[in-house]
Amino acid sequence: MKKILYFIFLIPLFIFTGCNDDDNNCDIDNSTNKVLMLKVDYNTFNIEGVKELVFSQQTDSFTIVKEYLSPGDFGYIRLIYKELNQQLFYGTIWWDGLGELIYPVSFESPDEYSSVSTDDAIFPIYGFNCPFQNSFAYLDFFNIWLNVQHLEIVRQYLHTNPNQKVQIFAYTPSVGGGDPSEWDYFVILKN
Amino acid sequence: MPLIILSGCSDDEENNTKNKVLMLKVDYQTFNFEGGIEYTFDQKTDSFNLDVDYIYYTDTETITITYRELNEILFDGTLIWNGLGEMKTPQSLHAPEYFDTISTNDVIYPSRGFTTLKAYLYDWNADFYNVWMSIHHLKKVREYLSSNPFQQIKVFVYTPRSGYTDSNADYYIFIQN
Repeated sequence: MKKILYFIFLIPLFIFTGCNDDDNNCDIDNSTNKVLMLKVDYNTFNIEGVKELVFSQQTDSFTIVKEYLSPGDFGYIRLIYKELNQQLFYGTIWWDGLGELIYPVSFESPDEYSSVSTDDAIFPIYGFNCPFQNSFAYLDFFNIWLNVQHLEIVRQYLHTNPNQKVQIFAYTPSVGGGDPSEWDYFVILKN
Repeated sequence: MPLIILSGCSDDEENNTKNKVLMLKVDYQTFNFEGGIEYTFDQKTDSFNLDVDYIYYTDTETITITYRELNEILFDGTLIWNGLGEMKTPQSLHAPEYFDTISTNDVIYPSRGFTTLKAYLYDWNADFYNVWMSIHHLKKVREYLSSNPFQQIKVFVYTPRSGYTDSNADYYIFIQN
């Protein structure tokens, strides 16, 4: 009987020693410098891929610089993490053709990532930035963000680094006679 | 006592168990809410997909939106180059005054965002924020989102003057309960 009583008294301890709501960062390793990249379909706004880029070195700031070659016929867009001189994104663009996403090489399936169980919507307090303006594509930060903000990993990155501007741009591998169904948005967060 | 409470069934509960789709119309340029219609279906479906069929290269083009799982047409309209097409289905919409609004000044957002109903060669851009701000305060919208909070809200733009998102164009928003 005593054992049962002890167990009843200990239950709250088991519950409360876990993750608390304020932290909301149980699964994230804050000591590692990481960049989260989400691939979102241009037409449907469905998340198509998730990629975490991990860097061994920490930096005080996070600056994205672009290299852009206008497609006539061939072009490309490359985004670089300036402080580390590391590539974040590299995709080719063809006029009247179809370019290719070279880097990141692969993305995880969004099915691997869970969504929060609540139906609230959160927003980055400093809003959004577009590291690469694309005259071919239409950019609606509001809806792109709504479609990704429910992922737990997105909430964790924003919780860890709440003062960041979320980076969003459109990658259009086909232009000229381009087909928007081949296009994607990319959302970038830093932990 | 619990049996007595639980065995009751209010009108609201009955309403929530029905399969309903709310279609609302918002002006493309002014974002004024211009009316809507509530569809009710006897049959429930596990998913809710809308197919867009665009028939083009004809004098009078047509665009049809069908509830795939039930094969029910929710919207059907014509599009005319250098002219003005018209909505055929539904035949009419309730006026904005038909829809009650909430008395509070809070704003809610759909936690899974919006998706677009487009078709090959039928492309347009949407200002989702302003579309949402013009309808989020409707009681029906709150009810539908409350009963089905994890849906991606479907948005379509009807351009009766084919190819032009001009003053005749309208957003149509579809929400399932």
